[in-house]
Amino acid sequence: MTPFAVHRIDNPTAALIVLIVEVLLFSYFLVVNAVYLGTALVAFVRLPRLVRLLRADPLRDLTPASLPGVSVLVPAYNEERHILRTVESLLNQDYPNFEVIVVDDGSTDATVDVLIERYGLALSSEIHPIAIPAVPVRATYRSSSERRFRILVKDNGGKGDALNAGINVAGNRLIFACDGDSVYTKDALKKMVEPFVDDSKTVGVGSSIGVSNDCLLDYDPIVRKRLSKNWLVRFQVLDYLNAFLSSRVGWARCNALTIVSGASGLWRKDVLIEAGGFRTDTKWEDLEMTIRVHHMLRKKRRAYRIRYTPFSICWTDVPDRVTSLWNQRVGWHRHVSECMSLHRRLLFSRYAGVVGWVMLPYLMLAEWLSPLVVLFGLLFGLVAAYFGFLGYFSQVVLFALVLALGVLTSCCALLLDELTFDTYRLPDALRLLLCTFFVVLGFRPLVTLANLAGFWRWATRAPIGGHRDIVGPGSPPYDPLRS
Amino acid sequence: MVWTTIAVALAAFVLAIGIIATSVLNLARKRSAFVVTQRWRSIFEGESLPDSVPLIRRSQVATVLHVWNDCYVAGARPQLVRAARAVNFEALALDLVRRRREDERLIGLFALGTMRSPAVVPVAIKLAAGGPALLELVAYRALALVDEGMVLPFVQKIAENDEWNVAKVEFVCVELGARKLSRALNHVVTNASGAQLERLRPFLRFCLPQSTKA
Repeated sequence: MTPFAVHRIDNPTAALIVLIVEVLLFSYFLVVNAVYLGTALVAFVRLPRLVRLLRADPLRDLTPASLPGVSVLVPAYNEERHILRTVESLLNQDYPNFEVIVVDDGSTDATVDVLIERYGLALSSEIHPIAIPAVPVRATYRSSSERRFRILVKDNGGKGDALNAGINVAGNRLIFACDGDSVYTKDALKKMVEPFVDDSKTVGVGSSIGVSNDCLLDYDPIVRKRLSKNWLVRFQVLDYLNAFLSSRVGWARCNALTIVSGASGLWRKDVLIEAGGFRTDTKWEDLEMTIRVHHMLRKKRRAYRIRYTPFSICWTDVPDRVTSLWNQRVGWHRHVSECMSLHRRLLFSRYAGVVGWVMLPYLMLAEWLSPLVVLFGLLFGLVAAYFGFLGYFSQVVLFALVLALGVLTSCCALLLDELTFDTYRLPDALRLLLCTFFVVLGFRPLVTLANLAGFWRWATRAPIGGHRDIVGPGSPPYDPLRS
Repeated sequence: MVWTTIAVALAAFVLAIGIIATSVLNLARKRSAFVVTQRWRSIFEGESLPDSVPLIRRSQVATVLHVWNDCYVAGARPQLVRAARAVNFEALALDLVRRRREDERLIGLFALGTMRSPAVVPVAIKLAAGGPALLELVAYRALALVDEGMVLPFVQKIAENDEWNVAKVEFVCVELGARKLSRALNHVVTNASGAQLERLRPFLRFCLPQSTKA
């Protein structure tokens, strides 16, 4: 019996085609959701236990001077509204050995001016080594009062290029890549560095990211974790919980994390240099860098780990308007498409391990191709319904299944948060619970459409919008496929 | 497919109920923990013990000992030992160590180690044999603090595994003191391989100069 049930097709060939399409669609649906629920199950088993243990640890707050030094890189382009609170939260870190480097990527607003005024910065003559090609730094500013802080000013080259310029200047062996519009908790560096200290094979660490819209921020801690009144923001809170709690914990457990977020990612400097630095011809560089490091180290058969800390050490404002959300998701999906294309040889290669045999195929099915599958499924459903191949009852049941699975996955993430971090108060948790229904009905279709647009832009090689169109003059970064 | 849909919907419903229940429980737990923490922190950090100490319910044992451990790490030590004797924390911590949850075991184990309670030895030996790295470290700490003969296995373990956080090991080394550590460090360093020496390097400063051979 087919999952879609009622057929009234007299032609046996047509009946067979319909049957095959139905089975394929249903299998896709089952596999994607089963893998997602599998990773959520790993998170359920592991995360509450781990977080309880870490909280019970009486030695959790130790910060000895022997911790490795960290260079915090903040690429900034027209961030005059947010940059002060970002830098302030970073300079406020409870960590013994770090420096903060803001790389102004050719801002046309007062990003540099507000920092000069706040920290009394003065021009400094410095010569920087060039380990990774990047747009040259035009000026360096240093503060006399805050020795750990400096600004590099350069022409626009994109976020990846700004990070590369920062890596050239960085004086420590760990690089913390940040965003210029996010806020970091006081223990951010300590939490991120811990996996490096615990396991010498660690080359990168990602962290969870919280949604800060309408939260009262006072650097440490995020004073009041309040849920925004904006429904679009609420949907994204659920989306972030889904991605950061249910999914990444499970993938990180088997060393198959494919994204160390660009807003809070800690990397070993030598590994970044060995990989050729961040790509400069893309708007979002984080996914590509993570997959590239996997690709490079697996190909060289080196023992390594990319770890994940589930604590939200970074809080960021998410888009609160449909247009900005649309642009963000279009860009993200385009970036996913670029990465899948760039690293296609990692798929099912003999050295790829769990990344190439499980994670990337899943990323391909569940993320990259999902808008196409959804579109095809919808068209197929419409055609089948029009010709009477599909009964109304089957359609209702199918819709109910999609809705129930959507609610189930969102509830998983929300329950996981309640069991571990208890981020939101009871009324806010109830509001989020209500949102789980509308996520499936409103938010996911919108994101699917945006993903489809992103896929289309990648397929047609449409130019990337925004300032990051401009590509730095440096040579193309290390390409594991050619090495 | 109808049954699949019903099953998924039921699972979602159960999770939704779980979210509400967990939220309510979290709220109650937070309130209760706040009161207990405030009350006991003021006792542990105070100049002298009050005439009568509050009764500790079974559900509050972990919270109270957690506060006690935190105060110990922060440095308020003589008062803590008096409080521990007055309230018979040893029995409470032993009860905690025998529970199933790892966080409760960790709290109990750390407290028993701090109190140098010989009763911790059988449980600590069991927990030191395997489990999460953090629990293992705290078990070794308890054993080394209680029995000087266990300092050597502790140092050997530092050399053999790279899962222990250096900062936490340093804290334990300070607690043990150079006198106890020196001989064990000398012994292990003499027979250590290159990788083991690298792991021991941050702790070599705990060697007394007159006993250093390596």
